Amino acid sequence: MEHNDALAVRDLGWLLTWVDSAQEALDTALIAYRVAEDRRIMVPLALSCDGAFLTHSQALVKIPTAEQVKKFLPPYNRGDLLMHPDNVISIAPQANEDWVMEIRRQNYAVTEITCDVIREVYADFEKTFGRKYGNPFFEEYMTEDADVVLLGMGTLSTPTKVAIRKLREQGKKVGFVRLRWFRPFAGPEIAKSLERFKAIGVIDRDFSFGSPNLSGVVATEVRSAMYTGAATRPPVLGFICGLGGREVTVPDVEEMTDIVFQAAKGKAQPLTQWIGLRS
Amino acid sequence: MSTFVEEKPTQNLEAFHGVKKVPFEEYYTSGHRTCQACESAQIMKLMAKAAGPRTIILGSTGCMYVANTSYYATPWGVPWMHTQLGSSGSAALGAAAAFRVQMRKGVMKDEPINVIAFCGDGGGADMGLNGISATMTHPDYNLLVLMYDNESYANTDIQISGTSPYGVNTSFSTPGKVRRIMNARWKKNVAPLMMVGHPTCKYVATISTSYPLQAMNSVRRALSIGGPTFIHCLNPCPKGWDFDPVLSFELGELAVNTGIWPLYEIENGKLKLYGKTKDIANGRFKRLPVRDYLLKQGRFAHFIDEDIEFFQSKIDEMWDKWLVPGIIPLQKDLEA
Repeated sequence: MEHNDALAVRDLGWLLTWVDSAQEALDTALIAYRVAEDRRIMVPLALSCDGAFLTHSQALVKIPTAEQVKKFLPPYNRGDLLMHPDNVISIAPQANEDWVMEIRRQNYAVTEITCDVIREVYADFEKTFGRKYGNPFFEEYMTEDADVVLLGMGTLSTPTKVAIRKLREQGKKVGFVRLRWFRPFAGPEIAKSLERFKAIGVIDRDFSFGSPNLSGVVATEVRSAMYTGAATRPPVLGFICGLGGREVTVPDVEEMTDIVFQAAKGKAQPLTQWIGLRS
Repeated sequence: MSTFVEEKPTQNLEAFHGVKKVPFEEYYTSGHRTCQACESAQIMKLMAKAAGPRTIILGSTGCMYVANTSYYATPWGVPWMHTQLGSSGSAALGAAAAFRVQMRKGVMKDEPINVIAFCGDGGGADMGLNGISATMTHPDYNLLVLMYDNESYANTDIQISGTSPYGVNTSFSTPGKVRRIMNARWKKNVAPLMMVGHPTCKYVATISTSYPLQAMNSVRRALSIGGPTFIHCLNPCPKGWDFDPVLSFELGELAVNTGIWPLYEIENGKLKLYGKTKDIANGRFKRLPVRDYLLKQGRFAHFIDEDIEFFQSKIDEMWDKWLVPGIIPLQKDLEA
């Protein structure tokens, strides 16, 4: 398991979201249908659950009632896109190269409003089920007084949070930001949140071969978002960790935190480092 | 059939008795940009007409996708959807299953709706064969897969396909000075493949656009009988076969009269021959020489007598030696 599995489609106009618990997987599945089937959106959506770590482990889950779900997610209605003899339409004709720009522009128009639709749906989710996710796009953990933060997606949140609690006992002020939605990437919000830290370490469970600074996908995206959206430019270090389902361990997180603290103190660090690699 | 099979009624489409009984309504009309005398477009028209308005059609990639449905244009008067090149079988099965679910849930009115998926020879006999094969093993669903066969990948500039005839000149088998015959393969025998290989396939037919009434009635029979059904249609292609468009109809007839393209239907295992094919089989009509058919087409212009004789010998073998003449290529000698 690694996030490249899903990130391979990141530039095809799909929406991509990552979860870190069984409960969140269930809740986000309901949310995802509402978002993707919204007539203003209507693009493919992939909900990523880390294989084995999440999909093959047991957890207690609160199952909502059928009435609640029906209220939140009414039966799918394709309306005038229905394939039925009463609705004579031709679906997916061949668009040649001379229409590609216009079609891409329609996709772009969707991406402009997706963040707003996601906020709407999360608000409605909270109203219907009473469970609150706060900021839909990312979760912050022990960041209020943090000097540095780590950032990642999916189930690596568990060892990271355990390690952070341990490090806090040693007086190290480190926090964690878990990205939920990768597409759309809430760039300005993420930049505004991250600009207040002295250094940031992005844990990528993926790798973008030949990318700027030879980093992972998320580190590259975070740097790009911060370049235009952040008032300050703290160092953004990229860590490649846990590829192929290798565990991200508590000592791994401690090692990464130490490196990020070094950067925060002004000691130059390599922009990309591989953690947990056998020599 | 087993009690596990959940059979649903079909529309009972009676055969048209004579061209004058064929309705005027067209469900494949203007809006396409196929070539002059395109017989593949002709079978689309006949298929839609025969199926009538309570029909949906799924089309896999090929001439009949690209030339028919350009962005912002469509000739289809019934709902039509594109499906991937090799997926006509799975698309038909999925659509039939989706209708059943929607009707069971009460989302749609419970009524028989014809589901037709069409594919070209490249999409059906080559790429889509596994999907169609799987579909033909599902007795629960009523659907028709119609393969229009212009004996090449005609949409991408006439490349060789699994149904291209022996020795044919295509852009992948251009005759040269050292080798004259660049396609040593023999055309796939697709309709018997579907019937013999899939006992659940209830109906298989071969048709030709030169015999439009039989073509339409085959489509109507396939849709009425229910279960998975398959039709193979031979379509002369002026561009791909390199002949004057005025000859389209005549070549379709010649393919039958030379014995190259037998016309038949197999319904629940019972074989029925049609027209001249029937006369050939019972000796009332002497097959015309294949030379008459081959030399009217530029794609065989490089043939010398030796090649024509070889082609003729293979067709003779098909009629004189096969267990079921013209259809099942087991030799009679094996009977003993």
